[in-house]
Amino acid sequence: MTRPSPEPSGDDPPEPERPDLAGPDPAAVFGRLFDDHAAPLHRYLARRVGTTIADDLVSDTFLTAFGQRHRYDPAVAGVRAWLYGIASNLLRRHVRDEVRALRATARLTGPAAADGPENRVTERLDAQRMVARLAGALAVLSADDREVLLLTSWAGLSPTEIAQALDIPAGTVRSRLHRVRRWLRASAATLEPATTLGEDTRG
Amino acid sequence: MADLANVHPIWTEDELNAALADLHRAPTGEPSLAAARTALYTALDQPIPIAPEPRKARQHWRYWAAAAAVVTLLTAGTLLAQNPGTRGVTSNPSLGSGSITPKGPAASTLLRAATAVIGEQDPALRPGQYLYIKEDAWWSATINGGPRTTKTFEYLAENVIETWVPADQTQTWAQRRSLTGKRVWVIGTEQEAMADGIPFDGGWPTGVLTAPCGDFYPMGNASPSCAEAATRTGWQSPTPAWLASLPKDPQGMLNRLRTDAPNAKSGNGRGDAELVTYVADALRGGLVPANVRAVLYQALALLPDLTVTQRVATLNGRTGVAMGIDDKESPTRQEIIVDPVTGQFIGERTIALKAVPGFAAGAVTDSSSVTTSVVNSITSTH
Repeated sequence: MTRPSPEPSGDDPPEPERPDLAGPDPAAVFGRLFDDHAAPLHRYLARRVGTTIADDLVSDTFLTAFGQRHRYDPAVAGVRAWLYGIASNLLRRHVRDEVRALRATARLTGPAAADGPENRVTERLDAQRMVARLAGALAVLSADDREVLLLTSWAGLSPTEIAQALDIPAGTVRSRLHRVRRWLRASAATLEPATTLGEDTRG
Repeated sequence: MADLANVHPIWTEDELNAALADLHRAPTGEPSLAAARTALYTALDQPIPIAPEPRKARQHWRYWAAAAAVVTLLTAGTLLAQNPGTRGVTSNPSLGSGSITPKGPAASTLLRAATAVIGEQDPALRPGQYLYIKEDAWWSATINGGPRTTKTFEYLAENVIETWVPADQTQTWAQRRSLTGKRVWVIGTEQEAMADGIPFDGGWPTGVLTAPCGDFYPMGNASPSCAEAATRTGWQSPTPAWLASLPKDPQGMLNRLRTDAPNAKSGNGRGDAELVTYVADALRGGLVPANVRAVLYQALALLPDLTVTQRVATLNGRTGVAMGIDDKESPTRQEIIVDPVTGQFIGERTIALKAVPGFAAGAVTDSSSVTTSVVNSITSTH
Protein backbone atom coordinates (compact mmCIF):
# COMPACT_ATOMS: atom_id res chain seq x y z
CA MET A 1 0.00 0.00 0.00
CA THR A 2 1.33 3.41 -0.82
CA ARG A 3 0.05 6.60 0.53
CA PRO A 4 0.45 10.12 -0.77
CA SER A 5 2.82 11.94 1.50
CA PRO A 6 4.73 15.19 1.36
CA GLU A 7 7.64 13.48 3.04
CA PRO A 8 10.61 12.22 1.13
CA SER A 9 9.92 8.70 2.26
CA GLY A 10 6.68 6.84 2.51
CA ASP A 11 5.66 4.67 5.37
CA ASP A 12 6.24 1.43 3.60
CA PRO A 13 9.90 1.27 2.67
CA PRO A 14 11.48 -1.84 1.32
CA GLU A 15 11.84 -4.50 3.97
CA PRO A 16 14.47 -3.03 6.28
CA GLU A 17 17.76 -4.72 6.87
CA ARG A 18 17.68 -6.83 10.03
CA PRO A 19 21.04 -8.53 10.53
CA ASP A 20 21.84 -10.78 13.46
CA LEU A 21 24.18 -8.48 15.35
CA ALA A 22 24.78 -10.93 18.16
CA GLY A 23 26.08 -13.67 15.89
CA PRO A 24 29.50 -15.31 16.06
CA ASP A 25 31.25 -12.92 13.68
CA PRO A 26 30.62 -9.38 14.90
CA ALA A 27 33.61 -7.98 13.03
CA ALA A 28 32.13 -8.82 9.65
CA VAL A 29 28.63 -7.71 10.59
CA PHE A 30 29.71 -4.43 12.11
CA GLY A 31 32.21 -3.73 9.36
CA ARG A 32 29.41 -3.93 6.85
CA LEU A 33 27.08 -1.95 9.07
CA PHE A 34 29.65 0.82 9.28
CA ASP A 35 30.24 0.83 5.53
CA ASP A 36 26.53 1.04 4.82
CA HIS A 37 25.42 3.55 7.41
CA ALA A 38 28.30 5.65 8.76
CA ALA A 39 28.47 8.15 5.92
CA PRO A 40 24.76 9.00 5.71
CA LEU A 41 24.58 9.09 9.51
CA HIS A 42 27.49 11.51 9.58
CA ARG A 43 25.90 13.77 6.98
CA TYR A 44 22.69 13.82 8.98
CA LEU A 45 24.41 14.55 12.28
CA ALA A 46 26.64 17.19 10.71
CA ARG A 47 23.57 19.09 9.55
CA ARG A 48 22.28 19.06 13.09
CA VAL A 49 25.32 19.78 15.22
CA GLY A 50 28.23 20.41 12.83
CA THR A 51 30.96 18.12 11.58
CA THR A 52 33.13 18.21 14.69
CA ILE A 53 30.47 16.89 17.01
CA ALA A 54 29.19 14.60 14.26
CA ASP A 55 32.62 12.94 14.10
CA ASP A 56 32.33 11.98 17.76
CA LEU A 57 28.68 11.03 17.55
CA VAL A 58 29.19 8.64 14.64
CA SER A 59 32.01 6.98 16.52
CA ASP A 60 29.98 6.78 19.72
CA THR A 61 26.93 5.47 17.88
CA PHE A 62 28.78 2.50 16.46
CA LEU A 63 30.62 1.80 19.69
CA THR A 64 27.34 1.89 21.57
CA ALA A 65 25.70 -0.32 18.96
CA PHE A 66 28.51 -2.82 19.29
CA GLY A 67 28.36 -2.78 23.07
CA GLN A 68 24.60 -3.25 23.01
CA ARG A 69 24.45 -5.67 20.11
CA HIS A 70 22.80 -8.32 22.25
CA ARG A 71 19.96 -5.92 22.87
CA TYR A 72 19.19 -5.50 19.20
CA ASP A 73 16.11 -7.45 18.24
CA PRO A 74 15.69 -7.87 14.49
CA ALA A 75 12.03 -8.64 15.04
CA VAL A 76 11.39 -5.25 16.57
CA ALA A 77 13.30 -2.80 14.41
CA GLY A 78 15.35 -2.53 11.27
CA VAL A 79 18.99 -1.96 11.99
CA ARG A 80 18.99 1.52 10.45
CA ALA A 81 16.19 2.61 12.78
CA TRP A 82 18.06 1.11 15.70
CA LEU A 83 21.28 2.97 14.83
CA TYR A 84 19.46 6.28 14.45
CA GLY A 85 17.74 5.63 17.75
CA ILE A 86 21.12 5.30 19.42
CA ALA A 87 22.37 8.42 17.64
CA SER A 88 19.26 10.33 18.71
CA ASN A 89 19.92 9.44 22.32
CA LEU A 90 23.52 10.59 22.04
CA LEU A 91 22.43 13.74 20.24
CA ARG A 92 20.40 14.79 23.25
CA ARG A 93 23.59 15.82 25.00
CA HIS A 94 24.07 18.41 22.30
CA VAL A 95 20.71 20.10 22.23
CA ARG A 96 22.29 23.38 23.27
CA ASP A 97 24.85 23.19 20.50
CA GLU A 98 22.14 22.55 17.98
CA VAL A 99 19.95 25.40 19.19
CA ARG A 100 22.93 27.73 19.21
CA ALA A 101 23.72 26.87 15.60
CA LEU A 102 20.11 27.34 14.55
CA ARG A 103 20.00 30.74 16.21
CA ALA A 104 23.18 31.73 14.43
CA THR A 105 21.63 30.72 11.13
CA ALA A 106 18.49 32.61 12.01
CA ARG A 107 20.50 35.81 12.33
CA LEU A 108 21.94 35.41 8.84
CA THR A 109 19.48 37.28 6.72
CA GLY A 110 22.08 37.55 3.97
CA PRO A 111 23.19 40.49 1.84
CA ALA A 112 21.49 41.24 -1.44
CA ALA A 113 23.04 39.42 -4.32
CA ALA A 114 24.08 41.74 -7.12
CA ASP A 115 24.10 39.47 -10.09
CA GLY A 116 21.41 37.95 -12.21
CA PRO A 117 18.06 39.18 -13.37
CA GLU A 118 15.95 40.94 -10.82
CA ASN A 119 13.54 38.09 -10.28
CA ARG A 120 16.32 35.63 -9.64
CA VAL A 121 17.78 37.90 -7.02
CA THR A 122 14.39 38.12 -5.38
CA GLU A 123 14.03 34.38 -5.40
CA ARG A 124 17.41 33.89 -3.83
CA LEU A 125 16.81 36.49 -1.17
CA ASP A 126 13.48 34.94 -0.42
CA ALA A 127 15.06 31.52 -0.06
CA GLN A 128 17.74 32.91 2.25
CA ARG A 129 15.13 34.63 4.31
CA MET A 130 13.05 31.49 4.50
CA VAL A 131 15.98 29.40 5.66
CA ALA A 132 16.80 31.97 8.34
CA ARG A 133 13.22 32.01 9.54
CA LEU A 134 13.00 28.25 9.48
CA ALA A 135 16.16 28.04 11.57
CA GLY A 136 14.67 30.44 14.10
CA ALA A 137 11.50 28.40 14.27
CA LEU A 138 13.37 25.12 14.63
CA ALA A 139 15.34 26.63 17.50
CA VAL A 140 12.17 27.04 19.56
CA LEU A 141 10.71 23.63 18.78
CA SER A 142 10.87 21.06 21.53
CA ALA A 143 13.73 18.62 21.10
CA ASP A 144 11.26 15.80 20.49
CA ASP A 145 9.45 17.67 17.76
CA ARG A 146 12.71 18.63 16.08
CA GLU A 147 13.85 15.02 16.26
CA VAL A 148 10.85 13.64 14.41
CA LEU A 149 10.90 16.39 11.80
CA LEU A 150 14.59 16.12 10.98
CA LEU A 151 14.74 12.33 11.12
CA THR A 152 12.10 12.54 8.42
CA SER A 153 13.39 15.40 6.32
CA TRP A 154 17.15 15.01 6.70
CA ALA A 155 17.71 11.36 7.54
CA GLY A 156 14.90 10.12 5.31
CA LEU A 157 13.47 7.75 7.88
CA SER A 158 9.89 6.60 7.48
CA PRO A 159 7.38 7.12 10.31
CA THR A 160 7.64 3.41 11.05
CA GLU A 161 11.41 3.62 11.34
CA ILE A 162 11.21 6.71 13.52
CA ALA A 163 8.72 4.93 15.75
CA GLN A 164 11.21 2.10 16.10
CA ALA A 165 14.15 4.46 16.61
CA LEU A 166 12.48 6.54 19.31
CA ASP A 167 10.28 3.79 20.71
CA ILE A 168 7.08 5.70 20.33
CA PRO A 169 3.92 4.64 18.49
CA ALA A 170 3.97 5.19 14.73
CA GLY A 171 0.69 7.04 15.05
CA THR A 172 2.35 9.44 17.45
CA VAL A 173 5.16 10.03 14.97
CA ARG A 174 2.69 10.92 12.25
CA SER A 175 0.67 13.10 14.59
CA ARG A 176 3.71 14.95 15.79
CA LEU A 177 5.10 15.38 12.31
CA HIS A 178 1.83 16.73 11.06
CA ARG A 179 1.49 19.14 13.94
CA VAL A 180 5.07 20.38 13.65
CA ARG A 181 4.86 20.91 9.92
CA ARG A 182 1.62 22.79 10.23
CA TRP A 183 3.06 24.98 12.94
CA LEU A 184 6.20 25.63 10.92
CA ARG A 185 4.26 26.54 7.81
CA ALA A 186 2.25 29.06 9.75
CA SER A 187 4.83 30.30 12.21
CA ALA A 188 8.11 30.21 10.38
CA ALA A 189 6.56 32.37 7.70
CA THR A 190 5.30 35.01 10.05
CA LEU A 191 7.49 35.07 13.13
CA GLU A 192 10.11 37.76 13.17
CA PRO A 193 13.59 36.43 13.82
CA ALA A 194 13.65 38.41 17.05
CA THR A 195 10.65 36.43 18.20
CA THR A 196 11.93 33.07 17.16
CA LEU A 197 15.30 33.77 18.67
CA GLY A 198 13.77 33.89 22.09
CA GLU A 199 15.28 35.74 25.00
CA ASP A 200 18.69 34.21 24.95
CA THR A 201 20.07 35.43 21.68
CA ARG A 202 23.59 34.75 22.84
CA GLY A 203 22.85 31.03 22.86
CA MET B 1 13.31 46.99 1.09
CA ALA B 2 10.05 45.20 1.59
CA ASP B 3 9.99 42.28 3.91
CA LEU B 4 9.94 39.55 1.35
CA ALA B 5 8.83 36.93 3.80
CA ASN B 6 5.53 38.75 4.06
CA VAL B 7 4.82 37.71 0.51
CA HIS B 8 4.14 34.28 1.92
CA PRO B 9 2.26 34.60 5.20
CA ILE B 10 1.81 30.85 5.23
CA TRP B 11 4.22 28.51 3.58
CA THR B 12 3.09 25.73 1.33
CA GLU B 13 4.29 22.21 1.97
CA ASP B 14 6.70 22.64 -0.92
CA GLU B 15 8.11 25.85 0.49
CA LEU B 16 8.67 24.21 3.85
CA ASN B 17 10.37 21.27 2.16
CA ALA B 18 12.55 23.63 0.15
CA ALA B 19 13.61 25.56 3.23
CA LEU B 20 14.32 22.32 5.09
CA ALA B 21 16.43 21.12 2.19
CA ASP B 22 18.43 24.34 2.13
CA LEU B 23 18.99 24.69 5.87
CA HIS B 24 22.43 23.56 7.00
CA ARG B 25 22.87 21.89 3.66
CA ALA B 26 25.45 19.15 4.07
CA PRO B 27 28.79 19.68 2.41
CA THR B 28 29.29 17.55 -0.63
CA GLY B 29 31.90 14.85 -0.58
CA GLU B 30 32.52 11.98 1.75
CA PRO B 31 32.77 12.79 5.43
CA SER B 32 35.93 11.85 7.25
CA LEU B 33 35.15 8.65 9.05
CA ALA B 34 38.64 7.40 9.73
CA ALA B 35 38.58 8.10 13.45
CA ALA B 36 35.20 6.48 13.91
CA ARG B 37 36.23 3.47 11.86
CA THR B 38 39.41 3.07 13.89
CA ALA B 39 37.48 3.27 17.14
CA LEU B 40 35.00 0.64 15.98
CA TYR B 41 37.62 -1.76 14.74
CA THR B 42 39.61 -1.35 17.90
CA ALA B 43 36.49 -2.32 19.78
CA LEU B 44 35.89 -5.23 17.48
CA ASP B 45 39.35 -6.59 18.15
CA GLN B 46 38.92 -6.08 21.86
CA PRO B 47 35.24 -6.49 22.43
CA ILE B 48 33.72 -4.15 24.94
CA PRO B 49 32.60 -6.22 27.90
CA ILE B 50 28.87 -6.45 28.01
CA ALA B 51 26.86 -6.43 31.19
CA PRO B 52 27.94 -9.09 33.72
CA GLU B 53 25.05 -11.29 32.79
CA PRO B 54 24.74 -11.02 29.03
CA ARG B 55 21.11 -11.02 28.17
CA LYS B 56 19.40 -10.68 24.90
CA ALA B 57 16.40 -9.20 26.53
CA ARG B 58 14.79 -6.50 24.59
CA GLN B 59 11.70 -5.12 26.08
CA HIS B 60 9.19 -3.15 24.18
CA TRP B 61 10.54 0.01 25.77
CA ARG B 62 14.22 -0.30 25.40
CA TYR B 63 15.90 2.64 26.97
CA TRP B 64 15.16 4.92 29.80
CA ALA B 65 15.64 7.94 27.64
CA ALA B 66 13.30 6.62 25.03
CA ALA B 67 10.86 5.60 27.67
CA ALA B 68 10.89 9.09 29.08
CA ALA B 69 10.01 10.45 25.68
CA VAL B 70 7.13 8.05 25.41
CA VAL B 71 5.96 8.87 28.87
CA THR B 72 5.96 12.52 27.98
CA LEU B 73 3.52 11.77 25.24
CA LEU B 74 1.40 9.20 26.90
CA THR B 75 1.15 10.53 30.37
CA ALA B 76 2.84 13.67 31.49
CA GLY B 77 1.81 15.64 28.47
CA THR B 78 -1.81 15.03 29.10
CA LEU B 79 -1.47 16.09 32.69
CA LEU B 80 -0.63 19.67 31.95
CA ALA B 81 -4.15 20.90 31.91
CA GLN B 82 -4.99 23.36 34.60
CA ASN B 83 -8.55 22.45 35.27
CA PRO B 84 -8.20 19.80 37.91
CA GLY B 85 -9.95 16.86 36.51
CA THR B 86 -13.35 15.94 35.44
CA ARG B 87 -14.34 12.61 36.81
CA GLY B 88 -12.72 13.29 40.07
CA VAL B 89 -14.58 12.81 43.24
CA THR B 90 -17.17 10.31 42.26
CA SER B 91 -16.14 6.76 42.68
CA ASN B 92 -17.03 5.09 39.47
CA PRO B 93 -20.32 3.27 39.61
CA SER B 94 -20.17 0.22 37.45
CA LEU B 95 -22.87 -0.41 34.98
CA GLY B 96 -24.93 -3.40 35.76
CA SER B 97 -24.43 -5.72 32.87
CA GLY B 98 -28.10 -5.64 32.02
CA SER B 99 -28.66 -1.95 32.50
CA ILE B 100 -27.70 -0.78 29.05
CA THR B 101 -29.14 -1.85 25.78
CA PRO B 102 -27.85 0.52 23.13
CA LYS B 103 -29.14 -0.69 19.84
CA GLY B 104 -28.18 2.01 17.43
CA PRO B 105 -24.86 3.27 16.20
CA ALA B 106 -22.31 4.74 18.54
CA ALA B 107 -24.11 8.05 18.31
CA SER B 108 -26.84 7.17 20.75
CA THR B 109 -24.32 5.96 23.32
CA LEU B 110 -22.12 8.99 22.92
CA LEU B 111 -24.93 11.49 23.04
CA ARG B 112 -26.24 9.84 26.17
CA ALA B 113 -22.79 10.04 27.70
CA ALA B 114 -22.49 13.68 26.66
CA THR B 115 -25.80 14.51 28.30
CA ALA B 116 -24.61 12.91 31.52
CA VAL B 117 -21.36 14.86 31.39
CA ILE B 118 -23.08 18.19 30.84
CA GLY B 119 -24.57 17.96 34.31
CA GLU B 120 -21.30 16.99 35.91
CA GLN B 121 -19.26 19.29 38.09
CA ASP B 122 -15.51 19.24 37.85
CA PRO B 123 -14.13 18.45 41.29
CA ALA B 124 -13.06 21.47 43.25
CA LEU B 125 -9.81 21.05 45.13
CA ARG B 126 -9.24 22.86 48.38
CA PRO B 127 -5.78 24.27 48.95
CA GLY B 128 -3.48 21.43 49.90
CA GLN B 129 -5.59 18.81 48.19
CA TYR B 130 -4.51 16.84 45.16
CA LEU B 131 -6.28 15.29 42.24
CA TYR B 132 -5.11 11.69 42.15
CA ILE B 133 -5.08 10.20 38.67
CA LYS B 134 -4.36 6.54 38.26
CA GLU B 135 -3.68 5.05 34.87
CA ASP B 136 -3.70 1.28 34.72
CA ALA B 137 -2.08 0.12 31.50
CA TRP B 138 -1.23 -3.24 30.03
CA TRP B 139 1.76 -2.90 27.75
CA SER B 140 3.56 -5.59 25.85
CA ALA B 141 7.19 -6.67 26.17
CA THR B 142 8.94 -8.86 23.65
CA ILE B 143 12.06 -10.78 24.57
CA ASN B 144 14.06 -12.42 21.86
CA GLY B 145 16.16 -15.18 23.29
CA GLY B 146 18.16 -15.35 26.48
CA PRO B 147 21.25 -16.95 27.95
CA ARG B 148 20.00 -20.45 27.20
CA THR B 149 17.53 -20.07 24.35
CA THR B 150 16.80 -18.30 21.12
CA LYS B 151 13.05 -18.54 21.58
CA THR B 152 10.86 -15.48 21.52
CA PHE B 153 8.68 -14.57 24.45
CA GLU B 154 6.06 -11.92 24.71
CA TYR B 155 3.91 -10.85 27.58
CA LEU B 156 1.63 -8.06 28.64
CA ALA B 157 2.55 -6.46 31.94
CA GLU B 158 0.45 -4.25 34.14
CA ASN B 159 1.95 -0.80 34.54
CA VAL B 160 0.48 1.71 36.96
CA ILE B 161 1.13 5.41 36.57
CA GLU B 162 -0.16 7.49 39.46
CA THR B 163 -0.12 11.25 39.33
CA TRP B 164 -0.88 13.79 42.02
CA VAL B 165 -1.93 17.19 40.72
CA PRO B 166 -1.93 20.01 43.28
CA ALA B 167 -4.81 22.47 43.56
CA ASP B 168 -2.37 25.13 42.42
CA GLN B 169 -0.86 23.43 39.42
CA THR B 170 2.24 25.58 39.47
CA GLN B 171 3.17 23.79 42.67
CA THR B 172 4.88 20.44 42.82
CA TRP B 173 3.24 17.44 41.22
CA ALA B 174 4.30 13.87 41.84
CA GLN B 175 4.22 10.85 39.63
CA ARG B 176 4.83 7.26 40.63
CA ARG B 177 5.36 4.58 38.03
CA SER B 178 5.30 0.95 39.05
CA LEU B 179 4.86 -2.57 37.79
CA THR B 180 2.32 -4.65 39.65
CA GLY B 181 4.04 -7.90 38.72
CA LYS B 182 0.92 -9.12 36.95
CA ARG B 183 1.72 -10.61 33.59
CA VAL B 184 -0.24 -12.26 30.84
CA TRP B 185 1.91 -14.40 28.61
CA VAL B 186 1.28 -13.98 24.93
CA ILE B 187 4.08 -16.07 23.48
CA GLY B 188 5.58 -18.69 25.79
CA THR B 189 4.78 -19.26 29.45
CA GLU B 190 6.23 -17.97 32.68
CA GLN B 191 7.51 -21.48 33.47
CA GLU B 192 9.28 -21.72 30.12
CA ALA B 193 10.72 -18.27 30.54
CA MET B 194 12.08 -19.11 33.99
CA ALA B 195 13.50 -22.40 32.77
CA ASP B 196 15.24 -20.61 29.92
CA GLY B 197 16.63 -17.90 32.17
CA ILE B 198 14.57 -15.19 30.52
CA PRO B 199 14.40 -12.01 32.56
CA PHE B 200 10.97 -10.56 32.84
CA ASP B 201 11.49 -7.65 35.13
CA GLY B 202 10.16 -5.36 32.43
CA GLY B 203 12.03 -2.54 30.79
CA TRP B 204 9.70 0.14 31.95
CA PRO B 205 10.78 3.01 34.10
CA THR B 206 9.68 2.86 37.71
CA GLY B 207 10.03 5.23 40.62
CA VAL B 208 8.78 8.60 41.80
CA LEU B 209 9.28 11.91 40.05
CA THR B 210 8.30 15.40 41.16
CA ALA B 211 8.00 18.58 39.10
CA PRO B 212 6.02 21.82 38.93
CA CYS B 213 3.22 21.85 36.34
CA GLY B 214 3.71 18.13 35.81
CA ASP B 215 6.87 18.77 33.83
CA PHE B 216 8.33 15.39 34.76
CA TYR B 217 10.20 14.87 31.53
CA PRO B 218 11.77 18.14 30.39
CA MET B 219 13.53 18.04 27.08
CA GLY B 220 17.25 18.29 26.62
CA ASN B 221 19.04 20.06 29.40
CA ALA B 222 16.00 21.98 30.56
CA SER B 223 14.99 21.93 34.21
CA PRO B 224 11.41 21.04 35.04
CA SER B 225 9.37 24.23 34.97
CA CYS B 226 5.95 25.51 34.09
CA ALA B 227 7.40 27.44 31.19
CA GLU B 228 9.01 24.32 29.82
CA ALA B 229 5.79 22.39 30.27
CA ALA B 230 3.86 25.06 28.40
CA THR B 231 5.97 24.66 25.28
CA ARG B 232 4.09 21.49 24.40
CA THR B 233 0.39 21.62 23.96
CA GLY B 234 -2.25 19.92 21.90
CA TRP B 235 -4.29 16.75 22.00
CA GLN B 236 -1.38 14.83 23.45
CA SER B 237 -0.56 17.48 26.04
CA PRO B 238 -3.57 19.70 26.63
CA THR B 239 -2.84 22.85 28.57
CA PRO B 240 -5.68 24.86 30.11
CA ALA B 241 -5.33 27.55 27.47
CA TRP B 242 -5.41 24.98 24.72
CA LEU B 243 -8.45 23.25 26.18
CA ALA B 244 -10.22 26.59 26.45
CA SER B 245 -9.48 27.29 22.81
CA LEU B 246 -11.32 24.23 21.52
CA PRO B 247 -14.59 24.76 19.65
CA LYS B 248 -17.72 24.63 21.75
CA ASP B 249 -19.95 22.94 19.16
CA PRO B 250 -19.73 19.31 17.95
CA GLN B 251 -19.18 20.02 14.27
CA GLY B 252 -16.58 22.63 15.08
CA MET B 253 -14.84 20.18 17.38
CA LEU B 254 -14.86 17.48 14.71
CA ASN B 255 -13.47 19.94 12.19
CA ARG B 256 -10.76 20.85 14.65
CA LEU B 257 -9.93 17.17 15.17
CA ARG B 258 -9.69 16.63 11.44
CA THR B 259 -7.49 19.68 11.11
CA ASP B 260 -5.14 18.70 13.91
CA ALA B 261 -4.88 14.97 13.30
CA PRO B 262 -2.81 13.83 10.37
CA ASN B 263 -4.88 13.18 7.29
CA ALA B 264 -4.14 10.91 4.35
CA LYS B 265 -2.10 13.62 2.70
CA SER B 266 0.14 14.10 5.71
CA GLY B 267 0.91 10.48 6.24
CA ASN B 268 -2.03 9.08 8.15
CA GLY B 269 -3.16 5.80 6.71
CA ARG B 270 -5.32 4.88 9.67
CA GLY B 271 -8.39 6.76 8.60
CA ASP B 272 -10.73 8.01 11.32
CA ALA B 273 -9.16 5.58 13.81
CA GLU B 274 -6.60 8.35 14.19
CA LEU B 275 -9.29 10.72 15.42
CA VAL B 276 -10.32 8.25 18.10
CA THR B 277 -6.68 8.00 19.14
CA TYR B 278 -6.48 11.77 19.41
CA VAL B 279 -9.54 11.96 21.63
CA ALA B 280 -8.22 9.12 23.78
CA ASP B 281 -4.87 10.90 24.04
CA ALA B 282 -6.58 13.94 25.47
CA LEU B 283 -8.94 12.05 27.79
CA ARG B 284 -6.34 9.61 29.10
CA GLY B 285 -4.64 12.27 31.19
CA GLY B 286 -7.72 12.79 33.31
CA LEU B 287 -7.69 16.59 33.18
CA VAL B 288 -10.18 17.44 30.43
CA PRO B 289 -13.03 19.48 31.95
CA ALA B 290 -16.56 18.12 31.74
CA ASN B 291 -17.78 20.75 29.29
CA VAL B 292 -14.98 19.91 26.86
CA ARG B 293 -15.52 16.19 27.29
CA ALA B 294 -19.22 16.54 26.45
CA VAL B 295 -18.42 18.27 23.17
CA LEU B 296 -15.79 15.65 22.38
CA TYR B 297 -18.38 12.91 22.76
CA GLN B 298 -20.83 14.82 20.60
CA ALA B 299 -18.14 15.28 17.97
CA LEU B 300 -17.31 11.58 17.95
CA ALA B 301 -21.02 10.86 17.53
CA LEU B 302 -20.73 12.49 14.11
CA LEU B 303 -18.18 9.96 12.89
CA PRO B 304 -19.90 7.72 10.35
CA ASP B 305 -17.68 4.70 10.98
CA LEU B 306 -17.59 4.72 14.76
CA THR B 307 -19.67 1.78 15.90
CA VAL B 308 -20.53 0.09 19.15
CA THR B 309 -18.34 -2.99 19.22
CA GLN B 310 -19.20 -4.36 22.64
CA ARG B 311 -22.16 -3.30 24.72
CA VAL B 312 -20.75 -4.54 27.98
CA ALA B 313 -17.01 -4.13 27.91
CA THR B 314 -14.95 -4.52 31.05
CA LEU B 315 -11.62 -2.79 31.44
CA ASN B 316 -9.68 -3.24 34.66
CA GLY B 317 -12.85 -4.10 36.50
CA ARG B 318 -14.94 -1.23 35.18
CA THR B 319 -17.68 -1.60 32.65
CA GLY B 320 -18.87 0.55 29.80
CA VAL B 321 -19.67 0.56 26.13
CA ALA B 322 -16.82 -0.07 23.71
CA MET B 323 -16.84 1.91 20.49
CA GLY B 324 -14.25 1.66 17.81
CA ILE B 325 -13.11 2.20 14.27
CA ASP B 326 -11.07 -0.27 12.26
CA ASP B 327 -7.56 0.93 11.61
CA LYS B 328 -7.10 1.12 7.86
CA GLU B 329 -3.38 0.63 8.21
CA SER B 330 -3.11 -2.45 10.38
CA PRO B 331 -5.50 -5.27 11.24
CA THR B 332 -6.51 -3.69 14.50
CA ARG B 333 -9.35 -1.63 15.86
CA GLN B 334 -8.90 1.44 18.05
CA GLU B 335 -11.54 1.54 20.75
CA ILE B 336 -12.62 3.79 23.57
CA ILE B 337 -14.78 2.63 26.42
CA VAL B 338 -17.27 5.07 27.89
CA ASP B 339 -19.84 4.69 30.60
CA PRO B 340 -22.94 6.11 28.92
CA VAL B 341 -24.77 6.53 32.22
CA THR B 342 -22.19 8.70 33.94
CA GLY B 343 -20.35 9.88 30.85
CA GLN B 344 -17.07 8.73 32.33
CA PHE B 345 -14.22 7.91 30.02
CA ILE B 346 -13.13 4.50 31.25
CA GLY B 347 -10.24 3.89 28.91
CA GLU B 348 -9.10 2.65 25.58
CA ARG B 349 -7.88 -0.56 24.05
CA THR B 350 -6.64 -2.05 20.81
CA ILE B 351 -8.23 -5.16 19.36
CA ALA B 352 -6.57 -7.58 16.93
CA LEU B 353 -8.90 -8.03 13.97
CA LYS B 354 -7.12 -11.10 12.70
CA ALA B 355 -4.97 -13.72 14.34
CA VAL B 356 -1.32 -12.77 14.73
CA PRO B 357 1.35 -14.69 16.67
CA GLY B 358 0.22 -14.77 20.26
CA PHE B 359 -3.11 -13.08 19.67
CA ALA B 360 -6.33 -14.60 18.39
CA ALA B 361 -8.65 -12.49 16.32
CA GLY B 362 -10.62 -10.33 18.70
CA ALA B 363 -7.98 -10.33 21.44
CA VAL B 364 -7.06 -7.16 23.30
CA THR B 365 -3.44 -6.32 22.43
CA ASP B 366 -3.07 -3.40 24.81
CA SER B 367 -5.29 -1.34 27.04
CA SER B 368 -5.30 1.54 29.44
CA SER B 369 -7.85 2.80 31.91
CA VAL B 370 -7.98 5.90 34.05
CA THR B 371 -9.58 6.81 37.36
CA THR B 372 -9.41 10.01 39.36
CA SER B 373 -10.18 11.01 42.92
CA VAL B 374 -9.39 13.79 45.35
CA VAL B 375 -6.85 13.10 48.08
CA ASN B 376 -5.48 15.17 50.92
CA SER B 377 -1.78 14.59 50.52
CA ILE B 378 0.77 13.82 47.90
CA THR B 379 1.36 10.07 47.37
CA SER B 380 -1.77 9.13 49.25
CA THR B 381 -4.18 7.12 47.17
CA HIS B 382 -7.49 7.53 48.95
